Amino acid sequence: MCNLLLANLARLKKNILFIFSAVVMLILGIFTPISIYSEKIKYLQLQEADKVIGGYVIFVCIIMAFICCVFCGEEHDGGTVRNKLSVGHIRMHIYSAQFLTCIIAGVILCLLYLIPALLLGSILLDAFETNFGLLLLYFISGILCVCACISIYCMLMTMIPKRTAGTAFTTFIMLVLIFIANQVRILLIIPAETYQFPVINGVVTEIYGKNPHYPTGIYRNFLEIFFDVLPSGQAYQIFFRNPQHFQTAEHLPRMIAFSCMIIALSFLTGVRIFEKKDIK
Amino acid sequence: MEYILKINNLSKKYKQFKALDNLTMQVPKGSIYGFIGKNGAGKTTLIRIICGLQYPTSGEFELYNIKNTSKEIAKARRKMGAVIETPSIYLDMTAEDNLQQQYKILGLSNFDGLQEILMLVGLENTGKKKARNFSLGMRQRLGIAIALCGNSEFLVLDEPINGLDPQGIIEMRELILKLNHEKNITVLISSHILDELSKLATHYGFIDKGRIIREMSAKELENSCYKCVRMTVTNTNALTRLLDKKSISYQILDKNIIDVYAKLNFTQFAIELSKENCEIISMNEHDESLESFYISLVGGAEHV
Repeated sequence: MCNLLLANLARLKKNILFIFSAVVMLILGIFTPISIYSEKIKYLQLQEADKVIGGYVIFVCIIMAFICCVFCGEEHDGGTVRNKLSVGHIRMHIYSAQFLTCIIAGVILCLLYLIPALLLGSILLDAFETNFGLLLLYFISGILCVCACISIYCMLMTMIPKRTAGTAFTTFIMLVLIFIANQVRILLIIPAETYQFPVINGVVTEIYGKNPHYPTGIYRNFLEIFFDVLPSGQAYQIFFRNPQHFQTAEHLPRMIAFSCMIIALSFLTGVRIFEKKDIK
Repeated sequence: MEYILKINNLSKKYKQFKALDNLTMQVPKGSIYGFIGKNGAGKTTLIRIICGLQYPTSGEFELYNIKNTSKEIAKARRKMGAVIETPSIYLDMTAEDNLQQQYKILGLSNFDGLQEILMLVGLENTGKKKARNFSLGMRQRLGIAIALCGNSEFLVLDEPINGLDPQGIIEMRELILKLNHEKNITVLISSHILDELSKLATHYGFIDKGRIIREMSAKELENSCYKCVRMTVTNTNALTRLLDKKSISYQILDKNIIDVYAKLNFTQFAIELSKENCEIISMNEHDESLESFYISLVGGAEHV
């Protein structure tokens, strides 16, 4: 499998889409702290360095949809996977090498953002508000969220070996997941108490009390679990960190566990599909 | 005789359709095995199974005496290369990059022999040109070059001359013959272009509806094909009397033209005809071609 992985990495190095994405993430990693710093100067506000840590996840998840589809699609659609099979490589190794190559690509893109962002952030911005342990959890959660997305993309490209159709379908799935996660987020940040203006005896009265739209009980638990399972939901949580009425930090360990489960399940499913497939 | 590939009762079923039906064949070592069959006969299906792209429904095959069900089959496959339908190449890479990629896949640490392979297939001067800018013939040759990486001893080519121009067909033929004669590479080649295959193959396998109908060497095929001499004479009656006397079958095509189905001793024949006051104006050998032999083998009526 090492041979396959090295061959894939050599190909990735020359992939124009990957090179372009790497440049984009590097620019983003430099631009983000500078942009926050300019706001700090303009409005004379405190801007903690923590603000740079979550911005990359959703971008990398979207970019990797294209990279995985093009990279894996080239093998399946172009037929070059046949060169590997006909010289005796086993299917699990071929799939694993493809999977690991995409994971490495995703991690590289994350690091290309994080390293300059953290370096510039610690220089230009105010001290970190979050402690080191929690920062590490955010970092691990972000990387694993990206890996979970990549794992799903690799599985989908095995099911749909046509590059164009696979890219279109995978991008569509990603957008649907982002939409669903956004809807769940909107429900979860509904405040528990709010001002209401009922009409009593013909007079509009202001009352501050329980919000009837606030999800509670089993429904709320379900929404929170669903938000933690969805890779797009995790990306939102890491990006917004502690949005109003929702403490991301409490969910990080669960998010990490769910990401690991998604990676394992989608990897095993992808391997199984590839092993059973008749290749043309 | 040593065989590179032995196939025993191999079957492949796609839902209700049986692509291969208890197919049995052997490819001798050092041969150029011509695999002949019409569209949908099962040629590409068999090649895909041999190359590990698909699994058989039943039956087995041996590659270098290693069974397909054995874990060692991967080692046997290291000695073979294949070009299946379209050549499997990276269009965004140069010829050299494509070969380097295949070397890495094979785990070969250095690129020894890479330039020799490029020279062998005539792609040594392509430089920085990407494969997407190659002609079809060049892509086919690059596909063969990739298949030759790692000192392949067995080459499987699925319709390698489809879509090539006459020059490309000649170059491909010469390349295959060179690989077989100089490098002793065994070649399994499937093709529809029977005339071209007849210039290459040392052995033939005729497949129809997923079964091998006949396997034979080129020598056996030559002996099986009927001999025909087209003669133009001045006295058809005299010729037909002589042929009837010798119990030789013939067909009268025209007033003075007859097809004679036999290998004749021309000197003797001319002497006997001259005694009957019959002159031979012209005489052409017109043997049965591979195409007509194949048609007669699989049944010509359904093709009318």
